[in-house]
Amino acid sequence: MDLEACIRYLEGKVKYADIRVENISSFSMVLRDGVMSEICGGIESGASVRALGKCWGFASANGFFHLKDICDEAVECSTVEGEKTGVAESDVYNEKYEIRERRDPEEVGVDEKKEIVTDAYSIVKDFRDVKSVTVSYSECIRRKIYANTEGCMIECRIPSASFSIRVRCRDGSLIQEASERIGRVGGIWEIEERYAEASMSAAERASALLRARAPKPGSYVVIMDPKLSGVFMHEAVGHAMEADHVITGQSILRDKIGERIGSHLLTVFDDPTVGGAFGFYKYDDEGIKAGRTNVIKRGVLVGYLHSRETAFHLSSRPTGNARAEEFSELPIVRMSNLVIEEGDMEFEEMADVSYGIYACGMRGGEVDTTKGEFQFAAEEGYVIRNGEIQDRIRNLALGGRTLEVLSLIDGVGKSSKHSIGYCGKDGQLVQVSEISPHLRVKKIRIGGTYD
Amino acid sequence: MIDEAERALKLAVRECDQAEVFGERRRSIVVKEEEGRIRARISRAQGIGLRVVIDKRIGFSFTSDLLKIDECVRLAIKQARISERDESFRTLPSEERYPTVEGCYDPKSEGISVKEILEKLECMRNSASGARIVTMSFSCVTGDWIVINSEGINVRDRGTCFSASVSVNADGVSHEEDDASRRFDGVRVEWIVENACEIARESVKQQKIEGGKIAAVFTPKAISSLMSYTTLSHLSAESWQRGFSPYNEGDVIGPEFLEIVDDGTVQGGIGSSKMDGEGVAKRRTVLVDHGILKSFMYDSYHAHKVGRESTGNALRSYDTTPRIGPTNLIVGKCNAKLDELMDGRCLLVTDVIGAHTASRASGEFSVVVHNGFMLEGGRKIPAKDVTICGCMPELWRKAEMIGDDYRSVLFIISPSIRFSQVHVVSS
Repeated sequence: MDLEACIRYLEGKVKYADIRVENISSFSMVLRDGVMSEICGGIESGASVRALGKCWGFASANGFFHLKDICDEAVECSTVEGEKTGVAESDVYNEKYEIRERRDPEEVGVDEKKEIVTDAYSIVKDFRDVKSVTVSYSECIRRKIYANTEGCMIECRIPSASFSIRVRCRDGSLIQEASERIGRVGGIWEIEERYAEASMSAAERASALLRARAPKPGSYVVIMDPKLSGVFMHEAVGHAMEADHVITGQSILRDKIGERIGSHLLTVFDDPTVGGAFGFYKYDDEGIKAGRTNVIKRGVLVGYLHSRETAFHLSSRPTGNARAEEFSELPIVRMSNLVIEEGDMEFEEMADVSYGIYACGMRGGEVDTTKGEFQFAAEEGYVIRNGEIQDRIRNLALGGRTLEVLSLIDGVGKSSKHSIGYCGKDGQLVQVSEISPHLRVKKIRIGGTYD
Repeated sequence: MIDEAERALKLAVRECDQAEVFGERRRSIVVKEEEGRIRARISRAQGIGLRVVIDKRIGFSFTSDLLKIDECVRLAIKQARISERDESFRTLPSEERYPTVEGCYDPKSEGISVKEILEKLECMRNSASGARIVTMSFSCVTGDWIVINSEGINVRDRGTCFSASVSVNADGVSHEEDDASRRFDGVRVEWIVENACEIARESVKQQKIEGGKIAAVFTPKAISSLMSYTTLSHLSAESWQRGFSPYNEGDVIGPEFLEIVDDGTVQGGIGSSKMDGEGVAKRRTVLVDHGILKSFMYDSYHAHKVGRESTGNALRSYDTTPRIGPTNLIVGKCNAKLDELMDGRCLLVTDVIGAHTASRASGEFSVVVHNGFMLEGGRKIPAKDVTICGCMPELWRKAEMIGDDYRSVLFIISPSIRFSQVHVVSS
């Protein structure tokens, strides 16, 4: 039974159903200390069916399978009694699209990709204090078909590629590391243009961190560079505005639409359609057309990120933020490309403080969305004294409460930078990015081991 | 899958010096309830991963479409040819004798139904007290694996893993708990709900505490969180050989009572099975004894580089190459009862937020304590806005007491551990 026949079959069985069929072609190479230890590639393909009967039923299989069998399993799973749920209404789309930029991964030869990796290694291997270098290139070409019982049919081809380098420097027993990552949905041209500079930057920072000291713990004025600002917003606010957390009472932003939750300088939105961004897509994994969703406007909470189900429960409209890592997972509410709108403060003006911390780079973060308690780590930092950037510091982690810290933002910088990453939620990893300027916070807690 | 794996190996060895096939088949049933709304799912996955060696050049490919084995073989060979010679590569492992590892397969999984899983969720629902269950889930995973290679390895195994998780909310405080077992009835579904509810209830009305350098008791969950992103990397032979482990064999890494053992043959252990991802027999390896580092964890590549044998620590799935990882990492030895650990003034660290931001190289960490308590003068005060900072290698040297409340969290089996002089930062 083909896809369209399966959709018709499901129409007669359940209130609503959708089918996702995917073919994921991936390739990667990893160079570890000059040894090309992995050149890997393969194809994952499969399908899943989601059916809404008395509850949500879901079934998936990879490789060779009969789509009708998966339909039957999903329908069987949907017969369990539970609390009522549903999906908000949405428009029906039919589109076939592909993302194809210059230097598309499928059109660039392996030798050219290998040259990026080997050249990046040769740039840094002899740098002062360098002990170990891991360079990797990876790409993923997703071909997806989405169809549902409302008549939606979306077919797409989405390529993405990323480069990363991790440099570890050592001085006696002291080891420090720094990393850089470049990636986009589209071609590999951005990697080709930026990998050399990024690699050298990682080596310089890792080496300099050997001579940095641990921070003195306490609460300080902190300026966050664009990378760190992005992670801060992702952890402190982003997850709390995912509507599935709001509905279950696990979000500090519940029942706060229309309320001031932060500084009037802050405007934040999520937009999957930012061209080339690492979290790019045109339609989410429920066939909803993606677009900009305003979440904070001049400090006021104006919206949440929704799937069709969360929109149903909150009487809102879907925002196109239902994403699944791949076909074998259920789509859940996720961020895509989180954007903090630029302000008008120059960096020199921001740094004009008697004592503060300039925190740079990021090592990730985590949040308890219920309490609004977050933690995120910078790769490095500097002490600011009387407007001057001075001593370098390492192992810099910032923590606090979302609503307190948002209200303490008193400076938003002028120019943004784009940083990429992977976000984990409910065991699923998806590509995301943050586009952010510098932010200054009047007071935020820093952990440290300085005596 | 067995036929396809054997066919892939046969095709590969025609053109390669050595080859290895890892085949995997998984079936899972998961039922999740979120505020009464049910999601039931059944997933099936299978695939093979093929590693080939041509003149010390290594290539890897995988496929989930077992009708396209030829294409998978061609791709692996192509990738080997564009790779570079790795002079450190010696050989894929050869035939082994395998241990009998009990308690890894529960035949209950064969006929398991959504209805039986719902009964487990009902047990969990009935165990809640003083807190609301926000989400809960129960899952059942059954797996079959085969590893065959050109050097004579031909081994199969199967296993089951059942797990439950819960997230509760008491007056705006959330807490999460989970448990896993190789047996359907081995998952402590009531205990995780009772424990999560108790911690959430007791964490309402958190208060600021005084920071400084104080004793801290880390529960097994907190130990597992921090070790996963620091110590596990430091005990890997790859980290040592590449110069970013702080340790060498023979180093004193902790007090005399500290022992860390990796044992892939523990009866019913989450990481237990006959063989690792390269088909090497799993075994018991003493990594740290009397506080001294005795051995790293090895896969065959890193073992052969230094003239040793693999310790059976190659982990993988069909779409990845093997990497070094733990099987069941057991932290000991117990030298005190749990209530002795809690004596005097100390911070009870139930879990941490942000462990993955630790530096894997240096082991430095700075994490938020999630629902921790200050224990002082017989009182248990829920602590607000607390960060703990440190460096894992230094922290091990400050271990004072190892408790008797052993618990398995992911691949780490540990009791609570008390450390002295932990940097505690309070707002």
